[in-house]
Amino acid sequence: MKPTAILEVKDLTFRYDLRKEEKTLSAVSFSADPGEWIAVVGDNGSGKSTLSRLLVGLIDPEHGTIKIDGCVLGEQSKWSLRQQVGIVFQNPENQFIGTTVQDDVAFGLENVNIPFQEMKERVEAALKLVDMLELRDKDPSQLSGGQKQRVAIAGILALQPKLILLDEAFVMLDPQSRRGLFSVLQNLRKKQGITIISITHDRNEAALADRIIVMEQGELIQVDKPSSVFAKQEKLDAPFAEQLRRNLKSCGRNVPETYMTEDELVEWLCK
Amino acid sequence: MNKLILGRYFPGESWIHQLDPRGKLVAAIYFIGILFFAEGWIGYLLLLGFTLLVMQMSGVSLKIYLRGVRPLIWLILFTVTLQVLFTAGGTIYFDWGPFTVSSYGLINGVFIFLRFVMIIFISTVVTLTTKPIDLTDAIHALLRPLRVVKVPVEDFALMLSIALRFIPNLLDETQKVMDAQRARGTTFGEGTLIQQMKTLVPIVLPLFVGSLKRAEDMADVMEVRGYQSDKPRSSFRQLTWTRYDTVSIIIMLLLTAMLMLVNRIGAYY
Repeated sequence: MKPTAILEVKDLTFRYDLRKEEKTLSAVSFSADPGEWIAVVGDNGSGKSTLSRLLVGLIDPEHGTIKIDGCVLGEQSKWSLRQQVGIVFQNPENQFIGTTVQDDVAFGLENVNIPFQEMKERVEAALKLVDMLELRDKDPSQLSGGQKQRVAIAGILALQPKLILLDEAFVMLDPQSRRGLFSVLQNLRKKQGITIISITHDRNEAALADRIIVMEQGELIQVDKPSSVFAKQEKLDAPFAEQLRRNLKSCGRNVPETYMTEDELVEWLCK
Repeated sequence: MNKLILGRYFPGESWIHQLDPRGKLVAAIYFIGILFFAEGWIGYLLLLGFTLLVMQMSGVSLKIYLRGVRPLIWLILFTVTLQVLFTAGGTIYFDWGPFTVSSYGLINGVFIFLRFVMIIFISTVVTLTTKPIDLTDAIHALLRPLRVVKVPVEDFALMLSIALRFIPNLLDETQKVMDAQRARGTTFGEGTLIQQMKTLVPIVLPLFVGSLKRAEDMADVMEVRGYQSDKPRSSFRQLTWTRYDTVSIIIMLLLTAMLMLVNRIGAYY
Protein backbone atom coordinates (compact mmCIF):
# COMPACT_ATOMS: atom_id res chain seq x y z
CA MET A 1 0.00 0.00 0.00
CA LYS A 2 1.21 3.43 -0.87
CA PRO A 3 1.66 5.63 2.21
CA THR A 4 -0.43 8.79 2.32
CA ALA A 5 1.41 11.79 1.04
CA ILE A 6 2.90 14.15 3.61
CA LEU A 7 2.63 17.03 1.21
CA GLU A 8 0.07 17.57 -1.51
CA VAL A 9 0.22 20.63 -3.69
CA LYS A 10 -2.66 21.20 -6.04
CA ASP A 11 -2.98 23.79 -8.78
CA LEU A 12 -0.83 26.33 -6.90
CA THR A 13 -0.83 29.76 -8.55
CA PHE A 14 0.81 32.91 -7.32
CA ARG A 15 1.38 36.44 -8.58
CA TYR A 16 3.44 39.08 -6.79
CA ASP A 17 1.62 41.83 -8.61
CA LEU A 18 -2.07 41.24 -9.11
CA ARG A 19 -2.32 43.97 -11.74
CA LYS A 20 -0.04 42.07 -14.07
CA GLU A 21 -0.78 38.93 -15.97
CA GLU A 22 2.67 37.51 -15.38
CA LYS A 23 2.53 34.71 -12.87
CA THR A 24 5.38 33.73 -10.59
CA LEU A 25 3.87 30.29 -10.23
CA SER A 26 1.14 28.86 -12.38
CA ALA A 27 -0.84 25.71 -11.65
CA VAL A 28 1.88 23.80 -9.85
CA SER A 29 0.81 20.39 -8.57
CA PHE A 30 2.86 17.65 -7.01
CA SER A 31 2.99 15.50 -3.92
CA ALA A 32 5.65 14.10 -1.64
CA ASP A 33 5.61 10.85 0.28
CA PRO A 34 6.99 10.40 3.78
CA GLY A 35 10.72 9.76 3.68
CA GLU A 36 11.13 11.05 0.17
CA TRP A 37 13.96 13.36 -0.96
CA ILE A 38 12.87 15.73 -3.66
CA ALA A 39 15.19 18.15 -5.38
CA VAL A 40 13.78 21.28 -7.00
CA VAL A 41 15.89 22.65 -9.83
CA GLY A 42 15.43 25.53 -12.22
CA ASP A 43 17.03 28.78 -13.28
CA ASN A 44 16.95 31.97 -11.25
CA GLY A 45 13.47 33.41 -11.35
CA SER A 46 11.80 30.11 -12.11
CA GLY A 47 9.71 30.35 -8.93
CA LYS A 48 11.58 27.90 -6.72
CA SER A 49 11.93 30.21 -3.76
CA THR A 50 8.39 31.48 -4.15
CA LEU A 51 7.27 27.86 -3.95
CA SER A 52 9.16 27.34 -0.70
CA ARG A 53 7.71 30.51 0.82
CA LEU A 54 4.24 29.37 -0.12
CA LEU A 55 4.82 25.97 1.44
CA VAL A 56 5.50 27.48 4.87
CA GLY A 57 2.68 30.00 4.64
CA LEU A 58 4.79 33.14 4.46
CA ILE A 59 2.81 34.21 1.42
CA ASP A 60 -0.69 33.17 0.39
CA PRO A 61 -1.44 31.62 -2.99
CA GLU A 62 -3.83 33.23 -5.44
CA HIS A 63 -5.52 29.89 -5.78
CA GLY A 64 -4.74 26.27 -5.28
CA THR A 65 -4.23 24.34 -2.06
CA ILE A 66 -1.35 23.02 0.00
CA LYS A 67 -2.06 20.04 2.19
CA ILE A 68 0.51 19.10 4.80
CA ASP A 69 -0.03 15.81 6.58
CA GLY A 70 -3.66 15.83 5.48
CA CYS A 71 -4.36 19.34 6.76
CA VAL A 72 -4.93 22.32 4.45
CA LEU A 73 -2.49 25.18 5.02
CA GLY A 74 -4.35 28.37 5.82
CA GLU A 75 -4.44 31.36 8.14
CA GLN A 76 -5.81 29.24 10.98
CA SER A 77 -3.75 26.13 10.59
CA LYS A 78 -0.39 27.62 9.68
CA TRP A 79 0.87 28.00 13.24
CA SER A 80 0.30 24.37 14.11
CA LEU A 81 1.57 23.18 10.72
CA ARG A 82 4.78 25.11 11.16
CA GLN A 83 5.72 22.66 13.88
CA GLN A 84 5.83 20.02 11.18
CA VAL A 85 7.56 21.99 8.48
CA GLY A 86 11.00 23.46 8.89
CA ILE A 87 12.68 25.70 6.38
CA VAL A 88 16.31 26.71 6.09
CA PHE A 89 16.93 29.80 4.00
CA GLN A 90 19.96 30.71 2.01
CA ASN A 91 21.38 33.61 4.02
CA PRO A 92 22.46 32.20 7.38
CA GLU A 93 23.29 35.60 8.85
CA ASN A 94 19.70 36.78 8.96
CA GLN A 95 18.47 33.47 10.30
CA PHE A 96 20.49 33.76 13.45
CA ILE A 97 18.09 35.05 16.11
CA GLY A 98 19.76 33.98 19.34
CA THR A 99 22.84 35.53 20.91
CA THR A 100 24.80 32.28 20.96
CA VAL A 101 24.72 29.05 18.96
CA GLN A 102 22.70 27.14 21.51
CA ASP A 103 20.32 30.03 22.14
CA ASP A 104 19.59 30.16 18.45
CA VAL A 105 18.90 26.44 18.20
CA ALA A 106 16.63 26.75 21.23
CA PHE A 107 14.66 29.66 19.77
CA GLY A 108 12.18 27.48 17.89
CA LEU A 109 11.72 25.26 20.94
CA GLU A 110 11.10 28.23 23.21
CA ASN A 111 8.37 29.34 20.85
CA VAL A 112 6.43 26.12 21.32
CA ASN A 113 6.95 26.25 25.07
CA ILE A 114 9.06 23.14 25.54
CA PRO A 115 10.20 22.63 29.15
CA PHE A 116 13.83 23.46 29.91
CA GLN A 117 15.15 19.95 30.51
CA GLU A 118 13.77 18.55 27.26
CA MET A 119 14.89 21.66 25.41
CA LYS A 120 18.43 21.19 26.63
CA GLU A 121 18.54 17.59 25.44
CA ARG A 122 17.08 18.40 22.04
CA VAL A 123 19.44 21.31 21.50
CA GLU A 124 22.43 19.16 22.34
CA ALA A 125 21.27 16.32 20.10
CA ALA A 126 20.68 18.68 17.19
CA LEU A 127 24.06 20.36 17.62
CA LYS A 128 25.75 16.99 17.75
CA LEU A 129 24.11 16.01 14.46
CA VAL A 130 25.56 19.01 12.67
CA ASP A 131 28.89 18.69 14.48
CA MET A 132 28.68 22.03 16.26
CA LEU A 133 28.49 20.92 19.89
CA GLU A 134 31.91 22.30 20.84
CA LEU A 135 31.00 25.71 19.48
CA ARG A 136 27.69 26.04 21.30
CA ASP A 137 28.72 29.05 23.40
CA LYS A 138 30.05 31.08 20.47
CA ASP A 139 28.21 34.11 19.22
CA PRO A 140 27.45 34.61 15.53
CA SER A 141 30.28 37.08 14.94
CA GLN A 142 32.75 34.32 15.78
CA LEU A 143 31.34 31.87 13.23
CA SER A 144 31.92 31.38 9.52
CA GLY A 145 29.11 31.36 6.99
CA GLY A 146 29.12 27.59 6.76
CA GLN A 147 29.00 27.21 10.53
CA LYS A 148 26.04 29.56 10.71
CA GLN A 149 24.34 27.52 8.04
CA ARG A 150 24.82 24.43 10.16
CA VAL A 151 23.35 26.20 13.16
CA ALA A 152 20.33 27.12 11.06
CA ILE A 153 19.94 23.47 10.07
CA ALA A 154 20.34 22.39 13.71
CA GLY A 155 17.62 24.84 14.70
CA ILE A 156 15.25 23.06 12.34
CA LEU A 157 16.37 19.56 13.35
CA ALA A 158 15.74 20.37 17.04
CA LEU A 159 12.09 21.03 16.18
CA GLN A 160 11.83 17.50 14.76
CA PRO A 161 9.61 18.40 11.82
CA LYS A 162 8.18 15.88 9.38
CA LEU A 163 9.11 17.96 6.37
CA ILE A 164 12.29 19.96 5.88
CA LEU A 165 12.64 22.54 3.14
CA LEU A 166 16.14 23.52 2.19
CA ASP A 167 16.22 26.71 0.14
CA GLU A 168 19.78 26.53 -1.17
CA ALA A 169 20.83 25.86 2.39
CA PHE A 170 24.16 24.28 1.50
CA VAL A 171 25.69 26.99 -0.65
CA MET A 172 28.10 28.30 1.97
CA LEU A 173 29.43 24.93 3.02
CA ASP A 174 32.67 23.49 1.80
CA PRO A 175 32.33 20.22 -0.19
CA GLN A 176 33.38 18.08 2.73
CA SER A 177 30.90 19.41 5.30
CA ARG A 178 28.28 19.46 2.57
CA ARG A 179 28.72 15.73 2.13
CA GLY A 180 28.71 15.30 5.93
CA LEU A 181 25.44 17.14 6.42
CA PHE A 182 24.00 15.44 3.41
CA SER A 183 24.55 12.03 4.95
CA VAL A 184 23.17 13.23 8.30
CA LEU A 185 19.96 14.27 6.57
CA GLN A 186 19.86 11.05 4.54
CA ASN A 187 20.12 9.07 7.78
CA LEU A 188 17.32 11.02 9.43
CA ARG A 189 15.22 10.46 6.39
CA LYS A 190 15.73 6.73 6.50
CA LYS A 191 15.36 6.36 10.27
CA GLN A 192 12.57 8.80 11.00
CA GLY A 193 10.91 9.09 7.62
CA ILE A 194 11.48 12.84 7.34
CA THR A 195 10.64 14.23 3.94
CA ILE A 196 13.18 16.60 2.45
CA ILE A 197 12.57 19.09 -0.32
CA SER A 198 15.79 20.66 -1.40
CA ILE A 199 16.01 23.64 -3.72
CA THR A 200 19.41 23.49 -5.30
CA HIS A 201 21.63 24.53 -8.14
CA ASP A 202 24.00 21.65 -7.51
CA ARG A 203 23.30 18.96 -10.11
CA ASN A 204 25.33 16.33 -8.33
CA GLU A 205 23.23 16.84 -5.23
CA ALA A 206 20.02 16.73 -7.28
CA ALA A 207 21.11 13.47 -8.89
CA LEU A 208 21.02 11.81 -5.46
CA ALA A 209 17.38 12.71 -4.85
CA ASP A 210 14.49 10.29 -5.25
CA ARG A 211 12.73 12.64 -7.59
CA ILE A 212 13.52 15.91 -9.26
CA ILE A 213 11.09 18.72 -9.90
CA VAL A 214 12.15 20.85 -12.85
CA MET A 215 10.76 24.37 -12.90
CA GLU A 216 10.82 26.93 -15.65
CA GLN A 217 9.21 30.35 -15.54
CA GLY A 218 6.79 29.43 -12.80
CA GLU A 219 5.73 26.21 -14.39
CA LEU A 220 6.49 22.72 -13.35
CA ILE A 221 7.79 21.05 -16.48
CA GLN A 222 8.83 17.65 -15.21
CA VAL A 223 8.63 15.61 -12.02
CA ASP A 224 10.49 12.35 -12.27
CA LYS A 225 13.40 10.19 -11.23
CA PRO A 226 16.82 11.78 -11.80
CA SER A 227 17.57 9.30 -14.58
CA SER A 228 14.60 10.31 -16.70
CA VAL A 229 14.95 13.99 -15.88
CA PHE A 230 18.56 14.20 -16.97
CA ALA A 231 17.85 12.06 -20.01
CA LYS A 232 15.02 14.33 -21.12
CA GLN A 233 16.12 17.81 -20.08
CA GLU A 234 19.04 18.38 -22.39
CA LYS A 235 19.21 22.03 -21.37
CA LEU A 236 19.78 21.14 -17.73
CA ASP A 237 23.37 20.96 -16.61
CA ALA A 238 23.84 17.27 -16.00
CA PRO A 239 25.69 15.72 -13.06
CA PHE A 240 29.26 14.69 -13.66
CA ALA A 241 28.59 11.08 -14.73
CA GLU A 242 25.93 12.10 -17.21
CA GLN A 243 28.16 14.78 -18.69
CA LEU A 244 30.90 12.23 -19.14
CA ARG A 245 28.48 9.86 -20.84
CA ARG A 246 27.29 12.59 -23.20
CA ASN A 247 30.85 13.62 -23.99
CA LEU A 248 31.89 10.06 -24.68
CA LYS A 249 28.89 9.68 -26.91
CA SER A 250 29.67 12.78 -28.91
CA CYS A 251 33.19 11.42 -29.43
CA GLY A 252 31.60 8.49 -31.15
CA ARG A 253 32.10 5.96 -28.35
CA ASN A 254 29.64 3.16 -27.98
CA VAL A 255 28.03 4.16 -24.65
CA PRO A 256 24.55 3.16 -23.46
CA GLU A 257 21.76 5.49 -24.53
CA THR A 258 20.22 5.97 -21.09
CA TYR A 259 21.22 7.99 -18.05
CA MET A 260 23.63 6.29 -15.67
CA THR A 261 24.53 7.00 -12.09
CA GLU A 262 28.17 7.42 -11.17
CA ASP A 263 28.43 3.81 -9.93
CA GLU A 264 26.84 2.42 -13.06
CA LEU A 265 29.15 4.38 -15.27
CA VAL A 266 32.20 3.27 -13.32
CA GLU A 267 31.09 -0.32 -13.65
CA TRP A 268 30.50 0.09 -17.38
CA LEU A 269 33.87 1.78 -17.91
CA CYS A 270 35.67 -0.99 -16.05
CA LYS A 271 34.16 -3.67 -18.23
CA MET B 1 34.41 52.54 19.62
CA ASN B 2 36.92 51.16 22.06
CA LYS B 3 36.59 54.23 24.22
CA LEU B 4 33.10 53.38 25.35
CA ILE B 5 33.49 51.35 28.52
CA LEU B 6 29.94 51.52 29.78
CA GLY B 7 28.17 48.54 28.24
CA ARG B 8 31.21 46.36 27.63
CA TYR B 9 31.77 43.00 29.19
CA PHE B 10 35.06 41.82 30.65
CA PRO B 11 35.06 38.05 31.06
CA GLY B 12 36.29 36.90 34.44
CA GLU B 13 35.82 34.44 37.24
CA SER B 14 35.38 36.78 40.19
CA TRP B 15 32.74 36.45 42.87
CA ILE B 16 30.94 39.41 41.33
CA HIS B 17 30.99 37.83 37.87
CA GLN B 18 29.23 34.81 39.23
CA LEU B 19 26.40 36.61 40.96
CA ASP B 20 22.94 36.29 39.50
CA PRO B 21 22.34 39.25 37.15
CA ARG B 22 19.01 39.98 38.79
CA GLY B 23 20.60 40.29 42.20
CA LYS B 24 23.45 42.35 40.82
CA LEU B 25 21.13 44.75 39.04
CA VAL B 26 18.87 45.18 42.05
CA ALA B 27 21.86 45.69 44.35
CA ALA B 28 23.35 48.32 42.03
CA ILE B 29 20.10 50.25 41.73
CA TYR B 30 19.64 49.99 45.48
CA PHE B 31 23.14 51.29 46.09
CA ILE B 32 22.55 54.26 43.81
CA GLY B 33 19.37 54.87 45.80
CA ILE B 34 21.08 54.96 49.19
CA LEU B 35 23.81 57.22 47.79
CA PHE B 36 21.28 60.03 48.07
CA PHE B 37 20.78 59.41 51.78
CA ALA B 38 24.42 59.89 52.65
CA GLU B 39 25.10 62.91 54.81
CA GLY B 40 28.45 64.16 55.91
CA TRP B 41 31.98 63.00 55.39
CA ILE B 42 31.81 59.70 57.17
CA GLY B 43 28.77 58.57 55.19
CA TYR B 44 30.44 59.38 51.89
CA LEU B 45 33.68 57.75 52.94
CA LEU B 46 31.80 54.61 53.94
CA LEU B 47 30.08 54.37 50.56
CA LEU B 48 33.24 55.26 48.66
CA GLY B 49 35.11 52.54 50.56
CA PHE B 50 32.42 50.06 49.66
CA THR B 51 32.50 51.08 45.98
CA LEU B 52 36.28 50.70 45.83
CA LEU B 53 36.06 47.32 47.55
CA VAL B 54 33.51 46.09 45.01
CA MET B 55 35.67 47.41 42.15
CA GLN B 56 38.68 45.65 43.60
CA MET B 57 36.72 42.42 43.89
CA SER B 58 35.58 42.54 40.26
CA GLY B 59 39.18 41.93 39.21
CA VAL B 60 39.06 44.63 36.54
CA SER B 61 41.85 47.21 36.72
CA LEU B 62 41.14 50.70 38.03
CA LYS B 63 42.33 52.20 34.74
CA ILE B 64 39.34 50.74 32.94
CA TYR B 65 36.96 52.24 35.47
CA LEU B 66 38.59 55.63 35.11
CA ARG B 67 38.14 55.40 31.36
CA GLY B 68 34.43 54.92 32.04
CA VAL B 69 34.33 58.27 33.85
CA ARG B 70 36.20 60.17 31.16
CA PRO B 71 33.37 60.71 28.63
CA LEU B 72 31.20 62.18 31.39
CA ILE B 73 33.83 64.28 33.13
CA TRP B 74 32.67 67.61 31.59
CA LEU B 75 29.09 67.02 32.59
CA ILE B 76 30.24 66.24 36.14
CA LEU B 77 32.50 69.28 36.36
CA PHE B 78 29.73 71.50 35.02
CA THR B 79 27.30 70.30 37.68
CA VAL B 80 29.92 70.62 40.39
CA THR B 81 30.71 74.20 39.29
CA LEU B 82 27.05 75.19 39.42
CA GLN B 83 26.79 73.65 42.85
CA VAL B 84 29.87 75.50 44.09
CA LEU B 85 28.80 78.85 42.66
CA PHE B 86 25.17 78.89 43.70
CA THR B 87 25.18 77.37 47.17
CA ALA B 88 25.41 79.86 49.95
CA GLY B 89 25.99 79.28 53.63
CA GLY B 90 28.84 78.84 56.03
CA THR B 91 31.92 80.94 55.51
CA ILE B 92 31.82 82.98 52.36
CA TYR B 93 35.14 83.13 50.55
CA PHE B 94 34.15 85.01 47.42
CA ASP B 95 31.12 87.03 46.38
CA TRP B 96 30.40 88.56 43.00
CA GLY B 97 26.84 89.42 41.96
CA PRO B 98 24.81 86.22 41.99
CA PHE B 99 27.91 84.03 42.41
CA THR B 100 29.14 83.05 45.82
CA VAL B 101 31.80 80.59 46.77
CA SER B 102 31.08 79.40 50.27
CA SER B 103 32.30 76.59 52.48
CA TYR B 104 28.90 74.88 52.11
CA GLY B 105 29.13 75.17 48.35
CA LEU B 106 32.60 73.68 48.24
CA ILE B 107 31.67 70.76 50.46
CA ASN B 108 28.50 70.14 48.47
CA GLY B 109 30.53 70.27 45.26
CA VAL B 110 32.85 67.57 46.50
CA PHE B 111 29.90 65.44 47.62
CA ILE B 112 28.19 65.79 44.25
CA PHE B 113 31.41 64.88 42.50
CA LEU B 114 31.77 61.76 44.66
CA ARG B 115 28.15 60.81 44.11
CA PHE B 116 28.51 61.05 40.33
CA VAL B 117 31.72 59.05 40.29
CA MET B 118 30.25 56.35 42.51
CA ILE B 119 27.16 56.05 40.32
CA ILE B 120 29.38 55.57 37.28
CA PHE B 121 31.70 53.14 39.05
CA ILE B 122 28.92 50.95 40.39
CA SER B 123 27.02 50.78 37.10
CA THR B 124 30.29 50.06 35.32
CA VAL B 125 30.91 47.18 37.74
CA VAL B 126 27.56 45.71 36.70
CA THR B 127 28.11 46.05 32.95
CA LEU B 128 31.74 44.93 33.07
CA THR B 129 30.97 41.77 35.00
CA THR B 130 27.68 40.77 33.35
CA LYS B 131 27.15 39.55 29.81
CA PRO B 132 24.74 41.86 27.99
CA ILE B 133 22.40 38.96 27.37
CA ASP B 134 22.30 38.10 31.08
CA LEU B 135 21.51 41.71 31.80
CA THR B 136 18.65 41.49 29.30
CA ASP B 137 17.37 38.42 31.10
CA ALA B 138 17.61 40.24 34.41
CA ILE B 139 15.65 43.21 33.06
CA HIS B 140 13.14 40.76 31.66
CA ALA B 141 12.76 39.02 35.02
CA LEU B 142 12.51 42.27 36.97
CA LEU B 143 9.92 43.76 34.62
CA ARG B 144 7.82 40.61 34.67
CA PRO B 145 5.30 41.98 37.21
CA LEU B 146 4.36 44.60 34.61
CA ARG B 147 2.73 41.85 32.58
CA VAL B 148 -0.26 42.25 34.85
CA VAL B 149 -0.91 45.66 33.33
CA LYS B 150 -0.44 44.25 29.80
CA VAL B 151 3.09 45.50 29.14
CA PRO B 152 4.64 43.20 26.48
CA VAL B 153 7.67 42.35 28.62
CA GLU B 154 8.67 39.28 26.55
CA ASP B 155 8.68 41.20 23.29
CA PHE B 156 10.67 43.95 24.91
CA ALA B 157 13.29 41.50 26.17
CA LEU B 158 13.54 39.79 22.78
CA MET B 159 13.92 43.13 21.03
CA LEU B 160 16.70 44.06 23.39
CA SER B 161 18.53 40.77 22.84
CA ILE B 162 18.23 41.01 19.04
CA ALA B 163 19.50 44.58 19.14
CA LEU B 164 22.50 43.44 21.19
CA ARG B 165 23.14 40.58 18.80
CA PHE B 166 23.22 42.90 15.81
CA ILE B 167 25.57 45.58 17.11
CA PRO B 168 28.72 43.78 15.85
CA ASN B 169 26.98 43.09 12.55
CA LEU B 170 26.17 46.74 12.03
CA LEU B 171 29.74 47.74 12.83
CA ASP B 172 30.98 45.17 10.34
CA GLU B 173 28.62 46.40 7.71
CA THR B 174 29.62 50.02 8.27
CA GLN B 175 33.21 49.01 7.71
CA LYS B 176 32.28 47.16 4.52
CA VAL B 177 30.29 50.05 3.11
CA MET B 178 33.08 52.47 3.96
CA ASP B 179 35.60 50.22 2.22
CA ALA B 180 33.33 49.98 -0.79
CA GLN B 181 33.04 53.77 -0.93
CA ARG B 182 36.78 54.14 -0.51
CA ALA B 183 37.32 51.76 -3.42
CA ARG B 184 35.20 54.18 -5.43
CA GLY B 185 37.38 57.10 -4.48
CA THR B 186 35.70 58.65 -1.45
CA THR B 187 37.97 60.07 1.22
CA PHE B 188 36.61 60.32 4.71
CA GLY B 189 37.48 62.95 7.27
CA GLU B 190 38.69 65.56 4.82
CA GLY B 191 37.46 68.95 3.71
CA THR B 192 35.03 71.27 5.42
CA LEU B 193 32.48 70.07 7.92
CA ILE B 194 29.75 70.20 5.26
CA GLN B 195 31.85 68.11 2.88
CA GLN B 196 32.58 65.58 5.59
CA MET B 197 28.92 65.29 6.40
CA LYS B 198 28.13 64.78 2.73
CA THR B 199 30.48 61.83 2.50
CA LEU B 200 28.51 60.18 5.29
CA VAL B 201 25.27 60.09 3.30
CA PRO B 202 26.40 57.25 0.99
CA ILE B 203 27.30 55.25 4.12
CA VAL B 204 24.17 55.79 6.13
CA LEU B 205 21.83 55.11 3.22
CA PRO B 206 23.05 51.60 2.33
CA LEU B 207 23.23 50.75 6.02
CA PHE B 208 19.66 51.82 6.48
CA VAL B 209 18.41 49.89 3.46
CA GLY B 210 20.43 46.84 4.54
CA SER B 211 18.97 46.95 8.03
CA LEU B 212 15.43 47.11 6.72
CA LYS B 213 16.06 44.15 4.44
CA ARG B 214 17.60 42.25 7.30
CA ALA B 215 14.70 43.03 9.59
CA GLU B 216 12.31 41.69 6.99
CA ASP B 217 14.28 38.47 6.56
CA MET B 218 14.47 38.01 10.29
CA ALA B 219 10.77 38.56 10.75
CA ASP B 220 10.17 35.81 8.17
CA VAL B 221 12.54 33.45 9.92
CA MET B 222 11.00 34.16 13.30
CA GLU B 223 7.57 33.54 11.89
CA VAL B 224 8.38 30.20 10.30
CA ARG B 225 10.15 29.13 13.44
CA GLY B 226 6.89 29.65 15.26
CA TYR B 227 7.35 32.92 17.10
CA GLN B 228 4.06 34.43 18.18
CA SER B 229 4.21 37.40 20.46
CA ASP B 230 1.10 36.62 22.45
CA LYS B 231 1.89 32.97 23.13
CA PRO B 232 3.63 31.70 26.27
CA ARG B 233 7.28 30.84 25.65
CA SER B 234 9.67 28.79 27.67
CA SER B 235 13.18 30.06 28.23
CA PHE B 236 16.42 28.31 27.39
CA ARG B 237 18.58 30.58 29.48
CA GLN B 238 17.93 29.92 33.12
CA LEU B 239 18.88 32.25 35.94
CA THR B 240 19.78 30.59 39.21
CA TRP B 241 19.60 32.42 42.49
CA THR B 242 22.30 31.14 44.83
CA ARG B 243 23.23 31.67 48.44
CA TYR B 244 25.77 34.27 47.35
CA ASP B 245 23.05 36.40 45.81
CA THR B 246 21.12 36.38 49.05
CA VAL B 247 24.33 37.26 50.88
CA SER B 248 24.92 40.21 48.56
CA ILE B 249 21.44 41.56 49.23
CA ILE B 250 22.01 41.17 52.98
CA ILE B 251 25.28 43.08 52.62
CA MET B 252 23.38 45.90 50.95
CA LEU B 253 20.93 46.01 53.86
CA LEU B 254 23.79 46.01 56.38
CA LEU B 255 25.37 48.85 54.44
CA THR B 256 22.13 50.81 54.72
CA ALA B 257 22.00 50.24 58.45
CA MET B 258 25.61 51.38 58.81
CA LEU B 259 24.90 54.47 56.75
CA MET B 260 21.93 55.39 58.95
CA LEU B 261 24.07 54.92 62.05
CA VAL B 262 26.85 57.04 60.61
CA ASN B 263 24.37 59.75 59.67
CA ARG B 264 23.04 59.75 63.23
CA ILE B 265 26.53 60.08 64.70
CA GLY B 266 27.37 62.79 62.18
CA ALA B 267 24.40 64.80 63.39
CA TYR B 268 26.05 65.30 66.80
CA TYR B 269 29.07 67.01 65.40
